[in-house]
Amino acid sequence: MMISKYLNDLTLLKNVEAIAIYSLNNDLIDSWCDPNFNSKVLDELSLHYFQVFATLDLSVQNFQEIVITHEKGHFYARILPDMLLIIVVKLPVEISLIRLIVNVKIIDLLNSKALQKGLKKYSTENKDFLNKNILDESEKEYLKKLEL
Amino acid sequence: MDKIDENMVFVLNSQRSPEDSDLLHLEWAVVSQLDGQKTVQQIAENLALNTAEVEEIFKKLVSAELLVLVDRSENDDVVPGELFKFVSHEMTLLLGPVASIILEDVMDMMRLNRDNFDRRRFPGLIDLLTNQIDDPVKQIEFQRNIYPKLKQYLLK
Repeated sequence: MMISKYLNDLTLLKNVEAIAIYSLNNDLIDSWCDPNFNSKVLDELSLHYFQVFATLDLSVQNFQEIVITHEKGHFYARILPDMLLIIVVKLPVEISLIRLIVNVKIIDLLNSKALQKGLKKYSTENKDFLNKNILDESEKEYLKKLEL
Repeated sequence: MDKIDENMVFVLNSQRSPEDSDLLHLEWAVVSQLDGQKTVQQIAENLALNTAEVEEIFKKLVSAELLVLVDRSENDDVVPGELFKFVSHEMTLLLGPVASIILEDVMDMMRLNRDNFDRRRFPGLIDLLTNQIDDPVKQIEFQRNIYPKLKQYLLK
């Protein structure tokens, strides 16, 4: 409901396939999907993005946005206070249009009571959202070096 | 395809994988540039290829059925001049008289001008103009001010 209300312009773009908002504990707060899109992909995507953002955070690189481009489109992720926004788009689409709409519309969403209520349901106290249980040995070693 | 035009735009053929073809280093470089938006000319400039090289590479990729030509006929809307005036005005409110110079510089950088500015490239222009504003608060203010008017052109 929040996405339909506050990010409606994104859902109107014909090449936007899915939008999801997650709390920092990887709990889904709201999502919107094109009927042809497999929504299970979103959970997996969000987990990977959390890992990447958390690792960048450890290496003191303040990335707020990551765009992964593949042959059929883009995965766009924006880390925001207490939440992660994920947008799946297929080509052809200008990622700068997605960014512009997010920049303009996100403030109203962040200030909305609906989002605040949604976030309260999930604890956001744990700011270290890196899930170390799913890392392989080389990743653990890499993180160890970062923490030194 | 007899001739590769510099304004053509290609995407990868989803039915074929470039890995199955024996591509050379430069051919892979071209493949990595394909995004359904960059023209042949822009890719050539990005990779510092001359006309003969780029034509040869694209012809080979097309004949190997690795590329699909993007039909831009329905997307060929050109941004109306009034929109540039409006954006320039909003920029001037934030940056002063230098705004119009910045706008022209950024369009030069994108190798586009007001007469041939494709609607789909306009968000990219806004992105680059926003980066010219130092204050993050003013960046958002700029985008919020122009978005309602831009929306009717961008969300087509």
